Amino acid sequence: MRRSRALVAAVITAAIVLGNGAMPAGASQPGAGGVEFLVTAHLPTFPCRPPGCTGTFEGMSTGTLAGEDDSGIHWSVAWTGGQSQGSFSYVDSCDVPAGIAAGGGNLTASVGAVTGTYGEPAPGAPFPLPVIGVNTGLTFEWTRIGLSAVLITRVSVSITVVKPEGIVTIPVVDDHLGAANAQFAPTGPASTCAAPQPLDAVVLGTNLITT
Amino acid sequence: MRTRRIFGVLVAVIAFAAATAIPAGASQPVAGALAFHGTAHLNQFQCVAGNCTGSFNGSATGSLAGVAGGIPWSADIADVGFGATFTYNDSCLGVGFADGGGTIHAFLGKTTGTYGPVPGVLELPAPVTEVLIPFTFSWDRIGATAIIDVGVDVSLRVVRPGPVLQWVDVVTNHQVEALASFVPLELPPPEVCLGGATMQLDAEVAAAVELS
Repeated sequence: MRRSRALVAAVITAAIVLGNGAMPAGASQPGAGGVEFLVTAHLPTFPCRPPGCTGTFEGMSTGTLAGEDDSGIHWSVAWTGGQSQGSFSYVDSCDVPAGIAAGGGNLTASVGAVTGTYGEPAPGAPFPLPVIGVNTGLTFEWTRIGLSAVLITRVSVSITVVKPEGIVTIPVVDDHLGAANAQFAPTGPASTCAAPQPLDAVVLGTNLITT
Repeated sequence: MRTRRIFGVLVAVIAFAAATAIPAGASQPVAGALAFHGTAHLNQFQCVAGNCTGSFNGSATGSLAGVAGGIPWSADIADVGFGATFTYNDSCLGVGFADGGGTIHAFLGKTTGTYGPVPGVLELPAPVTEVLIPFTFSWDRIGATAIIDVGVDVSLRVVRPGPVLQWVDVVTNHQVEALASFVPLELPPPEVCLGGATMQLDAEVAAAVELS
């Protein structure tokens, strides 16, 4: 128990830097901000030898993003208490404490968890339109050594906006390629290749986005 | 999964509706101000017999905030057109009386504001997408200044979980007193004031209504 608490505390206080070397891919809408996520990964078997296993994750996210869409319209969004979920395939080595994974998921937040604006003051319309939702879709490739992992991510972001014609979804970041680091904190009992067990692990990260 | 999501939305909507229900007779603290500016059109001047009809069109700008049913809200409106009608009697003696009403309706782009947070439902406030402000007024003018008794309702169109748009009444029959200015765009000629003729009269009207 003491070791587990110390581990979680170490993860939570660890400095995690994501997005170094981020580069745009696909559309090049200018944008910047960060997304923080705290999820629990469920691994049905750990370690999992080749050909691999499938796991899931869910948790929460917070974030602040801003930029311009394809039409050059400025947008901003901030959320707290958003939801995160996804799935991944993974495989672990039994020779060294390492593993790789690939998967995808969504970070979402809706009314009551989101604030933001779309558009800029204009003659006759001095106030921007409200943003009421955000959906960050991502795919990732994960390489873990010990409790640290390096991720390559592709992120797309769409926001939900109230417009005069109704509630619409607007893509604002398209297939943004980035590199990231993350921390992996097992919360279950230690397991070995000789006696693999199901495992839950806390994953905490911050994804900085600059396009 | 879909059933769970629908159930979750349903629960959120019910919780939102319960949290936003305003008890009848409950006090609704409100603060802020509305500035009116426009042109009053009197179809007949003088009108000493009363019950002549006129119109008042212009724009309103203001900022309001309050608490309704325990939920905080705020709304700014900017340069929102409005229309009002009234009945009046008025004369060259510099004294006039009028009663009327109208509506300010601010749409997206002309308003911004928040509603919430709603405990247990909305951690962050929901955005305000429209503001509806029906108003009535009773006007007593002496010279270029009028004392007006104004009654105001305020309804906000907010986004609730779903997302769907919902009107919420946040102020009901709020009565305040205010001052207004009345400046005719042309002075009545002698044949009107002395000869019994009548004319149509336009006047610039400005008023600041403070709600508290």
